[in-house]
Amino acid sequence: MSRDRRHRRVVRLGLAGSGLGLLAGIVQATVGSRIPEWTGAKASPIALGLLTIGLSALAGWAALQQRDLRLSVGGRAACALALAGPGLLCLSTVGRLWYPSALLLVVAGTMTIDSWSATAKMLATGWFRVLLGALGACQLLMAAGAPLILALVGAVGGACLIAAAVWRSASRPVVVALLAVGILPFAILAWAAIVPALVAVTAALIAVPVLRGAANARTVGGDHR
Amino acid sequence: MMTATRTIRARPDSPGDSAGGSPSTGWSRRKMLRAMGLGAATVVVAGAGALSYRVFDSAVLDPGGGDAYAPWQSWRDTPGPLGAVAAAVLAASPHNTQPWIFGVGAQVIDLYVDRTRTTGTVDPFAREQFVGLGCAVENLVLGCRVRGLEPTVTWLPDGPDGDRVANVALADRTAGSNPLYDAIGDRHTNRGPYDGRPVPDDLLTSLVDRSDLQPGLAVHWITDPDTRGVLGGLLVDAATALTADEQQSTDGFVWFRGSNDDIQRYRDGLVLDGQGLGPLTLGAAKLLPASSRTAGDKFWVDQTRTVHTATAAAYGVITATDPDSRRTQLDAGRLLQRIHLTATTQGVALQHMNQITERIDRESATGAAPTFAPRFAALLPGVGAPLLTFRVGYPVRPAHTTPRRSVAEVTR
Repeated sequence: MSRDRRHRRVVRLGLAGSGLGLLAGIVQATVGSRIPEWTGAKASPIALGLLTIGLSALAGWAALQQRDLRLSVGGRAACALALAGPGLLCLSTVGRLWYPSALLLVVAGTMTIDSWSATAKMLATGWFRVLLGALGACQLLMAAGAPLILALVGAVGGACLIAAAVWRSASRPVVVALLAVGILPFAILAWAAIVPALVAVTAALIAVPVLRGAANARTVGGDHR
Repeated sequence: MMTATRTIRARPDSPGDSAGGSPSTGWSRRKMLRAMGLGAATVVVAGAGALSYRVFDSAVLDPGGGDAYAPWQSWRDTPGPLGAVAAAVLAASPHNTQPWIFGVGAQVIDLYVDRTRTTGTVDPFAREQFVGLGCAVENLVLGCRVRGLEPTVTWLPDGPDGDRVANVALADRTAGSNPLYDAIGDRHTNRGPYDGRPVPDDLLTSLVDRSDLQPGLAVHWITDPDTRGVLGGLLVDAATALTADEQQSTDGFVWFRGSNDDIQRYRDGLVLDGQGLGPLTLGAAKLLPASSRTAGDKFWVDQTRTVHTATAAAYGVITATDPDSRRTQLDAGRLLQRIHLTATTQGVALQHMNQITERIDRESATGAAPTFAPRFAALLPGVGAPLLTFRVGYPVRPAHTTPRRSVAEVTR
């Protein structure tokens, strides 16, 4: 199968999975409590329905990116995660209604990768960035179970950590600012839960090699895109 | 900046010291340190991921959140009889069992006992169950009056063995305010430490309002250190005996909700948030797997010894001349709820501590030689039988809400 043809299939599969997922999220948020055998008998169907809608939209966006044939190895890995991640995660948000979407999105995510060896090499060379992004995802997960203000702070912080991890061309002051916003506010507000502080300390330690690596890359004029 | 790397090479005369690689693999110290750093960081991040999921799943960041706690937010909103029931479901009950069902009409509310919601051998004669129902009636009456409904309570209309505990006929009246009604949403059992300040005697006396209640009920305040020490020791001994009694321990543990899923599903029972723990301890406890029955028992006895009895400013004991009477138990519940609501308005914390009477009833039910009844009688001679015990004091930290079933779940 040619690359172009495969990418077109990823777009179709991803959009189909995303569309069905959006529908499942809407059903969960509106009538989820009335059909618990289909929606997993969740305690908070509205919140989980909205989360499903958001993740489905993310997967749809990642599917649309496949039309860009110049997408980098890292970009493809990120899209694979944005497709397969919701595909697996939403199995716990909308029950049976998600099964078709899960299948479509996981397959689409797998087909997104052009070269597994190049992807593995890319991940290995930027592993600290991968870990920093994972910590951002941890923060997003914790924020999803927090009250509104704390959820907003955690969501912004998590997004900043992910941005600091993936934005290779950002200047050092910008990365430092992203790390500060990503690490400090959520940890300060949610210190009693212990884990936010643990994530903050870990992110701060991992940020050191990330910043050093970015500085070295700029020294040799490298943009690792 | 030095960029050269040192290569560790195995020496022919030290075969055991390969230092992570032979000369042919070319592993440098920098590479090895980097690999170790990457591995360690990966393990730590994976652990952080697992713990983050635990934070999300256990709702660590949102104590008192979710539908199980919604009745505490919305109890003032509903007008009419259903609104009064919304106030009633926030009443105290043994182990937060909420043993009530309400039949609601336009001009009447019937209260029924739900006999399935029992603590079994912890409360073998259902004394505490009926005290809890009395607490609910007190809130119900307050909720009616504030909503312009004058309640007339007929107790046990089908007799003492009937399931219908109270019939509350409603007539129109002028709606008014009441500080005790306003305190309903702030009244929580506080199992945390109290700060050691004594509660003035006149304040303790002002907590007790016996109007509309049966004669034969009395409240005794134990404030002097010596008697407090004796009662504290008795409470610790009773807690120890209760945990040593496997059936009582099991029947009590059934009502412990160890996960947020269970809390949101059942909306009743004892929860970690209600144990009065400090914020860090509470956070750590929620991250750990749910504790076993024996671990929970040990924790309770330790807390009874080191926190509950050690920091109590005073104890209150409600005694009755006829403690077996359902009517007396219901009135004792009303009295207890009034005391707790009034204490709440005064910034005084209260914790129910009924392990002594639970052991007295257990010994009586099993025909065992009485050990706790004589000791309690010696402490409070000639005042009737003890029915309820609680401690009061000024709290170090506020108490959290506990889950409640909604009005829709308890009405028919």
